[in-house]
Amino acid sequence: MLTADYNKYARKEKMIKFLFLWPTLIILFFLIAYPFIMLIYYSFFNFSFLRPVNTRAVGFKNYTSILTDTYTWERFIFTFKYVVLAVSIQFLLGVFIAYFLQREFSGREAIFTIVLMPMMLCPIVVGLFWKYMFNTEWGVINYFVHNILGFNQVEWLGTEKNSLWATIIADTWMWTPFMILLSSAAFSSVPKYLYEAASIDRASGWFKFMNITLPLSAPILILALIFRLMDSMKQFDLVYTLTGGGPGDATQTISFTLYKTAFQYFYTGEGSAWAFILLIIIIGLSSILIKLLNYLSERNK
Amino acid sequence: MARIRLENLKKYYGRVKAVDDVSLDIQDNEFIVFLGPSGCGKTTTLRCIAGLESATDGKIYFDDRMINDYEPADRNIAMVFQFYALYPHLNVYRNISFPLKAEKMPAPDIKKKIKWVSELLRIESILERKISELPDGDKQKVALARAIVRTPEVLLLDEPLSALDEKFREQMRIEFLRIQRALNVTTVYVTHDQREAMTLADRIVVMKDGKIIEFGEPARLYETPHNLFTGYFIGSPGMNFFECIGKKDGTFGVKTGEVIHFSESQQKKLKELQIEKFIVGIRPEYLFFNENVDESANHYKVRVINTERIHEINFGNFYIGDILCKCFLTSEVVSGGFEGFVSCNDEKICFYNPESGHIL
Repeated sequence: MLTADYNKYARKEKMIKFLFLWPTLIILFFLIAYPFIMLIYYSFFNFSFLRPVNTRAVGFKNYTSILTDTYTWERFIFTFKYVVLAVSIQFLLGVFIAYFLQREFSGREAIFTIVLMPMMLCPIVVGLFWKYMFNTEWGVINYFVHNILGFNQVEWLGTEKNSLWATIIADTWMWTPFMILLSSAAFSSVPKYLYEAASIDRASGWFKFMNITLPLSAPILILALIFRLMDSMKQFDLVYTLTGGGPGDATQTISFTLYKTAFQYFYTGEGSAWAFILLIIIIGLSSILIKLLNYLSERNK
Repeated sequence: MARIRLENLKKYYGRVKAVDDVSLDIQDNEFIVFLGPSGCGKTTTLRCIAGLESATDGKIYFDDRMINDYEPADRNIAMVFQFYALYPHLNVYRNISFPLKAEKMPAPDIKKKIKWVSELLRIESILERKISELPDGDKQKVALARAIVRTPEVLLLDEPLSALDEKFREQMRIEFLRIQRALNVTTVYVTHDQREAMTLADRIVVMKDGKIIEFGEPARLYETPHNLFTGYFIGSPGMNFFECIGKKDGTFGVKTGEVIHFSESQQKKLKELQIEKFIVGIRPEYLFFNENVDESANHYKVRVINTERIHEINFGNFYIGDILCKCFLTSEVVSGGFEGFVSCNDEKICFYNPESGHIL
């Protein structure tokens, strides 16, 4: 008798839980699961939504043609170059600046606010005004390089190598503040008494930084790296306005190529394959870093 | 291995006088305990000696060197913190080797040093453990090991036992004494626990409101505190204090009128002092209860209202005038009230000036 009552109650309980869940589940399904499944589905067809009539299943052909094309590898190499250089420069710069912003001084708050401003801008806008600043003839950067420092004018967006660096500079300008913000947060989470103990243990400033500050703030720093890495692997908008992928295809990131494939040539199937490949890469990289993150947080406990 | 001298040390935080004109001379190899209630400035004084706080005014000397402007690192001190301040990301071995690595000692020497210190503190078995896995007592041992591994001139301990439970405390008190004697290091120890102070110290500095109230050997502070506050703070239960007035007929009594009989010699002494009002201080342990009275000795008629057991000793509560006092009970505890007389040895009574609180 009692168990029957209890079972009834438990069933009712389950029912209510389900009622609360399903609206969210439906929304999530249509916004995330459905498009994702369709993405994988289309990646096995030569589908183009401009000409849907001749659609045929092509198996792994989209993948093989992407992965065997030397052009693809050039895009990958460029993207990795850009990601590694930009993220590591931002990281080092961010940690360095945060280190100096650690101490108390008057106007610290104001400096912080100013330093954080680039991060609040829209990437499209950042790309546009860096494009004007990088202009060979009348850009403000060449004005410095040429008229003030006396060097030759640099064709910032004209050569392959320069445009890589131009992209890195603009991206660094925009995202170093993010690194400063997270590094500062990480540094200030280190308890003050550890520094006191260390200064009594005769540790120098550098020794303290290397042996206390860095290891203890490593989890947050790694987290910041994960964010930046994922974000810059997907880099599109800044490149789109700054270089337009040029000169030639020199600064086309993977995302840019994906965009062109899917929305300029309208190879929807191949575009889907591109997207899936990019997703795999990002998940792979992130999971390595998340492993590292977990290891570090466990160690610091 | 160093004398410490404080000259008119002051530390103000805005208007708050955390340390207010403290002068002190600590001998070589001495074990000094700063004792006082929380907020009395004992920790701040310690932090000034350590160099973690800069003095507002006054001078700090190690031997003959004035070290006010020295960084903590240059003072050759070591410190054990209240909550250990161990490096959470390093294991025990690396925590202890931290100060040695900081001064770039070669690895074989570090190994030797750690072997020595871990044998001294008997922590060989936990060297590879993580800090978070250790019980509190071991954490404090590791903190002590890290402090002494460099053989500093001065060892500073900031309430090192207050985070431990009673069992560990007793063990660690003995450990601290053993280590201090073994190393011969000038030690300054801060605590609010008077029992800790009594067992550890060569000399105790009693502090209150940023000032030194009294400075002396534990036994002397206990027997004849020179200040009311010391009498109240040291000992558990603290000293009995009650105000006494000299009457015109030559007798003495309390405000409410009851007469206190002092012995002949005490009366003579009090008359010589020519003071009308004074405070009598007497430790409960020296105040004996008797059913009968010895007229030649000091005595006071009391009614014990209840009895109390403190540290396995029976005390009786009674009133002198309107002040609640405690006396030592030799007999077995009787429930409820009973009457009799309390008296004590003449030498055990202290007289204090009611205004200044100083001994007469």
